[in-house]
Amino acid sequence: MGQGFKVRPASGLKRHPAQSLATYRTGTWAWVLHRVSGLLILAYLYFHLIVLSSDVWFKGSADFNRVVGELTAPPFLVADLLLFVVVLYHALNGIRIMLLDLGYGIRHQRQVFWGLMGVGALVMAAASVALLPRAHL
Amino acid sequence: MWPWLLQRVSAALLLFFLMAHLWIEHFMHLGARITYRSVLERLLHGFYVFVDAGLLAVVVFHGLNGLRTVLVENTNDPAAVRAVTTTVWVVGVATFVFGMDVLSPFLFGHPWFRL
Repeated sequence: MGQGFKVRPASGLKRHPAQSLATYRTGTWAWVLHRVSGLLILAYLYFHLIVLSSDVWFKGSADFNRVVGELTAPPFLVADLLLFVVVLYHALNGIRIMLLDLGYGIRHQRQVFWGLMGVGALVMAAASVALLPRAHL
Repeated sequence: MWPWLLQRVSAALLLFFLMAHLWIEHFMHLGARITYRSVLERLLHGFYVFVDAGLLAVVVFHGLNGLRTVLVENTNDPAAVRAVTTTVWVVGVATFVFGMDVLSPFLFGHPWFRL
């Protein structure tokens, strides 16, 4: 890998993110949310594996069924829907990032962003309609 | 370049694996309860083992490679970048083994690691 390098800001130009929230526009907020959602999903991955891990939480099939049953209680259903929103956002914005990397939609990245968010809202609505009436409450 | 490129490749793979995972667990048999027995029977088929193990490997790579990006982006020191990369790889391999241990009772009839 190459040596590190330092970028010297132009004189008189103060650019620190914490001081320039007002300059954040769609793309910057998309980036912030992408990072926050990514870290949340990584944390959830470990939670998911630990809950499902046979040697930490349960010793056999009866305990597995009890734990999975408890995870369908209302608080966890709400958490599941929130998780779905977070994952959906990360996936759709990730698609936008890859499109931009490939050179598509650079001039219209804001419209592409909101178009994909519209797709996300539709997916979220369809999934909720399919799943919630069948929830084991 | 490799971390950047592989993050895109793993993202594309995740679109497949994650949709397969959510479809299989929640939509394929709408309303059916997930039980130890249903998971056991599902994992008799090689395709579902491929989806579960593949998703595990790709999601661990993508998640920890993303974490690595967050950790090194304000660093100019190549030694620090190498240290973060090594640490993340060790954690990633351990996480993959841990995840396979979660699958192991269903795949092998008994868990890899248990007292």
